[in-house]
Amino acid sequence: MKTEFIKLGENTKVKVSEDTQFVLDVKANGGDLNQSIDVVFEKSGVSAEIIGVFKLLGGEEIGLRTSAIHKVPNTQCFTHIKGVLMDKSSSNYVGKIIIEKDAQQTSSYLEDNILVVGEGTNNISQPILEIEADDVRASHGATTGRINKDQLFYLQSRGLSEEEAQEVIIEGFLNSLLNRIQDETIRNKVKERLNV
Amino acid sequence: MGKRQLEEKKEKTTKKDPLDTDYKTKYGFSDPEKHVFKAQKGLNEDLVRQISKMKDEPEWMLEFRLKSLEIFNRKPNPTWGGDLSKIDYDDIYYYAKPSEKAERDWEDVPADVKDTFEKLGVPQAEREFLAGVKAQYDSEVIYDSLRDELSDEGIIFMSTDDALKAYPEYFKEYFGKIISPTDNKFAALNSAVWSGGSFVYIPEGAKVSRPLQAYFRINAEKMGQFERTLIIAEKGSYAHYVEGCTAPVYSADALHAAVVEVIIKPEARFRYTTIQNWSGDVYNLVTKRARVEENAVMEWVDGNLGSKLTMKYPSCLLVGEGAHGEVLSIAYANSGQHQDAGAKMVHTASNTSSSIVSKSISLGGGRSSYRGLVSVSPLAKNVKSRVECDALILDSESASDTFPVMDIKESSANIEHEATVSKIGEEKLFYLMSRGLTENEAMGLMVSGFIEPIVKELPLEYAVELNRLIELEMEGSVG
Repeated sequence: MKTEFIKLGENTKVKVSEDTQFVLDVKANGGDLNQSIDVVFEKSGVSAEIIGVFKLLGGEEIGLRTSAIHKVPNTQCFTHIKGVLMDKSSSNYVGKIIIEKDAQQTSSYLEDNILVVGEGTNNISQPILEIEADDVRASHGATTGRINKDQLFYLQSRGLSEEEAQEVIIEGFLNSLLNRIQDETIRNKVKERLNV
Repeated sequence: MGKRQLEEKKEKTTKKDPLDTDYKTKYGFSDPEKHVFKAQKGLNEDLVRQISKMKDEPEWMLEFRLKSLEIFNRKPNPTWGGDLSKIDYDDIYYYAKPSEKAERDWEDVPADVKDTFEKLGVPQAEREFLAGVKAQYDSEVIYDSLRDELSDEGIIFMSTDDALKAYPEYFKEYFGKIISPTDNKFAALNSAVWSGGSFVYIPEGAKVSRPLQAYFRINAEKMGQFERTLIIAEKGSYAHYVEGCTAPVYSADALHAAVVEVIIKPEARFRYTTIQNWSGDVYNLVTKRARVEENAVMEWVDGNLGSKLTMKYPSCLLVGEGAHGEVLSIAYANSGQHQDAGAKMVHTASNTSSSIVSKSISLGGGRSSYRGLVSVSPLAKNVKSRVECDALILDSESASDTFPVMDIKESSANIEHEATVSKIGEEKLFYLMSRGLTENEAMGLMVSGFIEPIVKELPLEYAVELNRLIELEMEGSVG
């Protein structure tokens, strides 16, 4: 599977011609939904992953929209978004899966996980499914939650300070997705930017 | 329904549209219209004044109606959800009164009305048993039986029209306060021309062990039904309200726009169950909302079958600390139907929790959509919410959508949302068929299993009825 690093514009569109991982260059942009990508499937038998990872520091805002659009039979897509919200940051995410009438035997999943670390945060999440075909598997899951107190306590009992423990948990949360990126250069680039 | 009846139905089934015929045989009847008063088609200020005058309402209610009419005229149709462009507001009767007074004694109920209930299949014995059966025939409650046992405990269960006369104080305090006429176009329409519906008052600490039931149905062609329900559950009380409707089949479009307001005081618990099975020409546009106070619990159990288009999103405003809201919803979209159903949970207080479970089934070219909102205000700490939507699509002509919004303005919230869309697994069907079931039976069994978590929450007779209805609708749907 090849990996592509995608700069996001207002209406970025990519067509999936072979198995591809699309790693999104997600940036704090003030919260407007003008970071947008359509991943379009017009060729049967291909699969894609859409990966978006962000960490918002104090007061930063992000707006992001992704669509997986399945037009032909037998394609697969996995959209996975992970974000960490620090103090007073906010995220607005719209994630669509569209399966058109002819796109039978489609599998498409979307997962959107937000880890809230700071206070005064704000997040809107809209995972949307529009399904016109019947022989498909489509699902989405979205979660928003704080760091598990038990995990934090465990790490502290091992001698980490609260801040260190928090760092470890954030890193683990983001790395579980970042480590899926197959291209090493791109993976390291994203990790470096997120400081994990 | 017995086996014999089912067989009869099969015989009558024509090639043209087997589902429709089944439906007609069971519900497609109508009695000749006998109205004491029937307003003209269309809606204007004179009509609203006339309705209010005929009901002998206080001045403030007339003003409320007129203000609502103005809002209705001003507001455009919603542009989201289903297709509302076919509704012609000038081609609808907004008010009809089948007989002069609400009867208390069963003997006095007109014979043709009794006949209608006979066809609805509500056995007399069951009616006697049930705590109070109210039936709305056209736009007015004509039969209103209240068991002594209810009144002894101070429970009020009567038509909203009568309650307005008997208990104006509750109306001044709560009517139109949870759902304002400005909320949406159909709430405004209802507020302008409302008629009938139930008023329920549960006094402090009262626990009503048997469900309060209301049967009602639309009978006159092109009759809009605009019932208005107001429920107040005082501190520490418990009650379960059940409404179920079936409507006869007509080719002209009918409009049903109800408003249901529920106030749950601290530590009270209330469950509102609806099984709606409208005929395929009805627009069912209902606004339902509950205000839930400290440590109170509100549960909406909502079954949407039939109708041309249903847009209904039962809501809970969780305004008291520790309040809990729940919505269990089933949508069943068959040929020519669009079920746009969902739920809203608005968390404005700390330690509130909510759960939404939605199951939808699309077949025969039907479309079902889940549209939901979970919102957490900045002052609400430690909110928990869980949403689960599952959709089944039974054939390639049908469609399913999911439009959830999570708007979380607080950092300690724990929110989960999950949705899946799938068809019935071939291997499961194959397994059941290898055990001797036909494909139809296997499919029916799978669908029953799919909705079982919600059906088991229904009162027994409704659960049985729902399972039968789905069995009936499924017939001949797999080819």
